[in-house]
Amino acid sequence: MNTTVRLDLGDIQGNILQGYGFPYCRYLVVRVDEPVSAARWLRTIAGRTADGANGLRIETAERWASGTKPTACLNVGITAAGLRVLGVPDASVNGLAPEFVRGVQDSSSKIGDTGASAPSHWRYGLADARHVHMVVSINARTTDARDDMTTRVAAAPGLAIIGSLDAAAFAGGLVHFGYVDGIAQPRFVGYHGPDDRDDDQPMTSVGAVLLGFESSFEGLTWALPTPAVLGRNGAYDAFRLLDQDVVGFSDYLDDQAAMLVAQAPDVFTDTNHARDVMLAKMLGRWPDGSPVATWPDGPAPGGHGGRDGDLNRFDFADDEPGARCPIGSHIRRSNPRSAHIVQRNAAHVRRLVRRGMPYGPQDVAPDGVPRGLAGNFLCSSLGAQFEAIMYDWVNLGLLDPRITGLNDPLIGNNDPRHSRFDFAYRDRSFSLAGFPRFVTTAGSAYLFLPSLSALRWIGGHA
Amino acid sequence: MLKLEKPPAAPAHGVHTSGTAGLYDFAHRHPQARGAIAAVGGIVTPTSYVRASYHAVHAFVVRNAADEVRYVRFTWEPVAGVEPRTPVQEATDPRPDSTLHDELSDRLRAFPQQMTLRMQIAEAGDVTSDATTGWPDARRRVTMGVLTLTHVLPDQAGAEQLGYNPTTLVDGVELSDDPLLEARRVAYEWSHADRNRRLVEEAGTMSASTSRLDRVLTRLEDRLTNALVPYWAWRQRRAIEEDARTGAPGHQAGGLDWTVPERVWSAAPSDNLQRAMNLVMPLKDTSVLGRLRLTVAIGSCNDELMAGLNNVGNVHFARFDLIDDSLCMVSVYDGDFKNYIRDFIVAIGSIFDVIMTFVVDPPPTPVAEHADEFIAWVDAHDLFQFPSSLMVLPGDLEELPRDALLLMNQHRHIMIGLYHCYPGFSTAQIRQALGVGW
Repeated sequence: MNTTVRLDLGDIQGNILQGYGFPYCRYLVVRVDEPVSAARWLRTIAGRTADGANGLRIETAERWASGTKPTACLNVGITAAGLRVLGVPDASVNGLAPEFVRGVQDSSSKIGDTGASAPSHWRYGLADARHVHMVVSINARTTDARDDMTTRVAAAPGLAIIGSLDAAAFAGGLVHFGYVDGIAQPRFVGYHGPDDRDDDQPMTSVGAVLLGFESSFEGLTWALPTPAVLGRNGAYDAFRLLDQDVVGFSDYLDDQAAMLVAQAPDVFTDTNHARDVMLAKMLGRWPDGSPVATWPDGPAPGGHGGRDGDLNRFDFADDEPGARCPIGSHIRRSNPRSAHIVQRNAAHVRRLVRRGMPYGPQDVAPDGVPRGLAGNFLCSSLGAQFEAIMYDWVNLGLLDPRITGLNDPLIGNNDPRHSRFDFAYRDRSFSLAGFPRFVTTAGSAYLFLPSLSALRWIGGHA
Repeated sequence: MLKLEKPPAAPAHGVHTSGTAGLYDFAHRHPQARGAIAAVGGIVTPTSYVRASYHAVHAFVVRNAADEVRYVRFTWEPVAGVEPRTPVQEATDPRPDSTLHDELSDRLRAFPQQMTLRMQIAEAGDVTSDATTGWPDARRRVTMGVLTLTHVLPDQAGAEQLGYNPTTLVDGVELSDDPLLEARRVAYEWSHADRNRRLVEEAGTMSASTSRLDRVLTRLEDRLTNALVPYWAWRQRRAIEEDARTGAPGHQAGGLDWTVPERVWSAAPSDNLQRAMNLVMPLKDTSVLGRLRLTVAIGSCNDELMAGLNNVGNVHFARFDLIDDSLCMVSVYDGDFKNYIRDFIVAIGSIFDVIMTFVVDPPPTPVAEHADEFIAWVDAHDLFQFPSSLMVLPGDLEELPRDALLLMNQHRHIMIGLYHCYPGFSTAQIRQALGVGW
């Protein structure tokens, strides 16, 4: 086992190992019209100097020296179709992960992109996979900085922006449905110190997200393409634009809250109380982030001890019946931690890096304006991590016989005719049923976030 | 040269044959030791100290605040699952004695490792005084907590001062009526004291201990004339006893709180349980000797295969068949095909490395470094599941849909149908309903 990890931070795109924490993000869906100019542009923005591309430069994981924090950060994800258009030989493209090579639309039925979530309904230029070559992301501290960088990207020769989406953080790290998001992230040996964030979960290999390192699966190494430079230090990104039905969700909670209060007036003081409990049990965290595994009766009194404190100091192994954190809740089924699960080998190894930001207004209004989450689920194997979680756990619930056949109450591919979610509260059992699909895919792409040396190599191929 | 010998008599059901003639002789004369000896034959070397299960064979008593007591047995289970070394690895890749120790240090330098403490709860009628007698599988198991191992202490540092005495207990845990515990207590106290010379001066205690040891041993001799100290026996024994008692292993209901939810059919495309894999792998060497070599290679890995399948967890049945000139792996599993194959590689990739040496046009090995290629290879060698939409017989055979003909032409091996006696249930749901743990 290789225990020394040396990371070349200046070669790794800056949004992989850590988020920027900026409040604005714009995604540009890009079609390559002139491969030669586009390749040259990529080579330039991945170069050491960036004067030739309107001052644009890919942001890396290199830490900012004090006073040099940029106002906007540029990153690029490329699809398999994009690599081919840019002139990367098929033999090299096909050496990347098979799910990436075939593209996200090939996995539709597997990851639940069916019905209203089917690719034919997608927006932002993502519906026709043949034209989705790159997704450029601009993380910015101000809207001015974002717009300025957009103008400079739009001026790049040979590229056509065929779709765009703006996301903007809500105060307090909230997302639609009213939760704090993005709390648990894997910590990497060789990048995070053991005391970086308080978390009871084992640290993992940086190979859980970057190619070219020992993977998070014991003994498994994901193959690198030829040449290896194309793959090494790169990461896959399941880029997902997920519409959230805030009105439907709120109506459902109101409806069920009245039912719960009628059913158990001794347990639920009023409909607000019942609503909060449902929110908490469906996710596995109270809206403020405090885990129900630690705080089963109500959110942690007087705040939760900071984002990285008590928020991750819990496990499900000591709650086998799911009395505190329901087995079917979102966070338990997508990361069962050390709980006893059917697929013993899969404990801890499927974890993803998640970068998400909400889009659409924060209120709950039936105005037809899309509201949702622009999510990036980063990993070194789309099949072994992202798709494995979506297929076996989020939907299907194969990890525990008590939820097998039932989908995630929040993001699952649910149908009101047979959806169900069981939870316990104050030693009583409750069951929710008849809920629809609250989250619909509005667009998606499987991207590869190449290293800077890979971008320079790609840029030399058109 | 093949040498023909009269085969030995078949062993009793469930008993592995291994060990020496002397061991068998002992087993013949001491029926109570047979389970232990059979179990010894099943012992395999783990790949790591933290990829093995540890069973405390003695029963203990736990008492709650309301003064209710239960007899229990403790087990440490690796969160990552059990992984034994294969006979092939044992034969071709011998390791020095310090391997497991070094491996643990290396492993912990990279990542912490976790073990789960689980407690099996006895029910009325279970034998609690004899560590050689197992309890039925159906007995409820409860998770007590998770131990995270972060580093290995320098060798022996501090260890000499510790007494690993199974009778030193925390509040709420008490000794059972197993007399061996008492014997171990005395023996361990004695050896601990012997190591720590500071206790020697308490000569009175020493002699008292010694005489108590004698007394206990005498009592033990009365009761357990045939006792080996059977650390490994109970696993094997409980299966045999259970067979004898019920005719089939573990079919009584357990004391589980949860029942299998009433089956709800989901429209989600991911609702995919009990899927079939029919892997057909043409053999390189189809001679009698080639087929025999393959059979022996797979047969000798049987225990590892079973352990691996157990770790994968979502496999209903799996079997290896030699049919004509192909090795066939036929299985029924739950969930995603790729996850199934990938978990299998994690569990027993090295066995596949061996099997791949026997088949035509193998994928690159070691499979652990070429997981995606192996999955694609398995996919390509799997039977094609013929779409039922095309299984409509027209009035005239020549009117068969073109798609059907093309598919038939493209695929030599076709799966036509699969019957489900209990459709839509996962492995774990079935095990849970039977009360045999999952």
